[in-house]
Amino acid sequence: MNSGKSNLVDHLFLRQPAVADNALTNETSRDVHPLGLGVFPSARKIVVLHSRGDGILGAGEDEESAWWQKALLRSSPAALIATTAWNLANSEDAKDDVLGYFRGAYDKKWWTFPSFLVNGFGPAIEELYKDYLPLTFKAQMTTYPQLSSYVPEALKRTVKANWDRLEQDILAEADALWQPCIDCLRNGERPPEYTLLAPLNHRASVSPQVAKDYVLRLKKLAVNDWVPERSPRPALGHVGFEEVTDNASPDFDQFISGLRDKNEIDQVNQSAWLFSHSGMRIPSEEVFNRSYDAAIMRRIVSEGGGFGHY
Amino acid sequence: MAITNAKKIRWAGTVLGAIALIGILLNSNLLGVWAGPVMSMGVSQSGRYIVSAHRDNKLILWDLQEKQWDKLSGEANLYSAYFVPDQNVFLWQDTDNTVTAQTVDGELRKQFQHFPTYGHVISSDFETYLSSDEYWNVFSGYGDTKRPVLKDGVVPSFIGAGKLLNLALDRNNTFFITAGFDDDRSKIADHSPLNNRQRFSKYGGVTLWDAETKQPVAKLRGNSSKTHATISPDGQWVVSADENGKSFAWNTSNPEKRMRNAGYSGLFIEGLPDDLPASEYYDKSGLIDLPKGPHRFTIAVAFIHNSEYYLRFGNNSHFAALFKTGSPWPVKYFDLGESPKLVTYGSNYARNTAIATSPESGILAMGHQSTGGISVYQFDPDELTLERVWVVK
Repeated sequence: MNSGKSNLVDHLFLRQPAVADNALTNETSRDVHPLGLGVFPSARKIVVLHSRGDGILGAGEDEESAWWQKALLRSSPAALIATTAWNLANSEDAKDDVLGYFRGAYDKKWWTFPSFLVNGFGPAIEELYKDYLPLTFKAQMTTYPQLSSYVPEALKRTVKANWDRLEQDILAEADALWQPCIDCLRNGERPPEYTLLAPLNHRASVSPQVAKDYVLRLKKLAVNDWVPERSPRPALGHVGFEEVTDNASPDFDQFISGLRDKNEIDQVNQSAWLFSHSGMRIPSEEVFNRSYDAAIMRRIVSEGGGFGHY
Repeated sequence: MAITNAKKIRWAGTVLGAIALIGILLNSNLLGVWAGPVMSMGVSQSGRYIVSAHRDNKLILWDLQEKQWDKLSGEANLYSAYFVPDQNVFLWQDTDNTVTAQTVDGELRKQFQHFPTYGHVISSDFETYLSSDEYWNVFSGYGDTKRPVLKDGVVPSFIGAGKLLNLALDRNNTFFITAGFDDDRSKIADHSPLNNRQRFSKYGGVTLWDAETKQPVAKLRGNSSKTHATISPDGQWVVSADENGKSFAWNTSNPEKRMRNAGYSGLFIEGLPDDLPASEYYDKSGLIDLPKGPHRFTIAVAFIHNSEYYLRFGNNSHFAALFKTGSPWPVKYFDLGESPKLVTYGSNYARNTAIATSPESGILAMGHQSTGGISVYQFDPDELTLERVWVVK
């Protein structure tokens, strides 16, 4: 692939993945996650099983609703609540459906859930970097709202010094663990975990360049009072690649389209059976037969050896 | 007391009158069609008649000329509606598994017992009858003449893949094709289509078969996941497209040569090195202006003008792309209308048989997403237009 990285996994199946639908792009600028956690450009041969019925990942489609439900939904807020309650009472996995009505718990991953909270990343960031506070001028503004346009020089210096120190420590951590992480991966061992770079722990290793990018994103987030500027992308496990490979869409991604044409990624819509996110963990016999057996095992058997090889 | 009785009588009269009025309106088809969504459909070669099987087991015969329809049965197999080529005869199966071929005037041409079919086709001379079951096994004939053609596993299947194994037979009865779920790259020589000892079929993808010998001629591979394909009336072309947006064409005289069709932003060039910028993999020389709406993720393909033009229907889209056989480039995009929502919405891969054409007359019929109505279109090969000529809600 373009990243030049060796392919670590031979064949990967993602069932209802709670990652962005553009997570496989090589364009990090397309990552709408404020800390750069939304794309994984080093992934390779992947089959995505997605489902529009997964209430954890997003809102369900209403096309299959009865006509009377649709009519009620359009009539009044009370009717909306009544219809929602009816659907929940009749659903097989009420928890999934509750979350589905509120756009899914997937948004929590993007730090925007619940949407009525306005402090965004603030609490989590301040906990993670408590030894470097303050990192913004917001405390001053809150204490003295009448002085909101005025920031004392002393505070400016303190904030700048904190940022300098945090940036230095983040880059030092990246430098210190970069080679050990690579060595661990070569030896098949679990790589060490990051502390200041903990939000990037999903990566096997963090290069100095990625660390610099992370600091830049963090600063940008601070300027915006820890509130992300862009809305989350829909979940790949919910919508598949449909939007990012739609030529007419503003979110069209040429790279992901190319992966599809090179047979490196495939999607299989399994809305008919994967209607519950929890079904993945404890699959019913139906899910086992129709999803695991038909969509996963068959490919492995048909394509011969390779699955599970690193 | 007398006044109360008079009131009661008036109320009863009003209610009865309303019921009678609704009955009259329903009988004269003025309230639209009262049926579940279309599951399978066929168009007569003349283009005048359409037969449809609905989710609530209704079988309806539509007359495009008279703009009328008749409910013929309330016990039809969902996937059994099919028009016999070159005749005003259609095929269907009832829920007692009796397959019937009858004329549009009700005259019985053929009737036999069979297993519950998940799609079937018949030649104009009634000599070739092919049917699929829920495990995507394919059989030729019926009764004592029934023989397995494809029977090599139970996966994929209608239930596992969420679609039918689509069957299509050319007008000359030379070839037929099967198309289901493509993820197999093995050769015909390595796996017989008749093998009871394996679980996973090797013939889920697009396969070209000899209609006389019932033997596989070529595996037409390259698609992935849920795949639809059809064969041109003259038997020269097979075209396919899938839920990952890939589309291919093959000439049956040289089925080894696969021709990739352009997506809507360019034609992917195969065989280039891996490390080029993404845009360099695409030839854009033959592209036309792309309106907002067509989707590459395809739910069905269908010939619309003899063996020359075919349509590709995007999932979750009310646009169809027109292609000409022998060329990889889209010729035109047609807006099929946003309302009523067509069967192309909602990833209805199990209902791609609710899209049917008569390539000889240029008629396209489509079911709607969640109601029992249909939309009918007329293609003009000279003007390259596709006009909606009838909508029943």
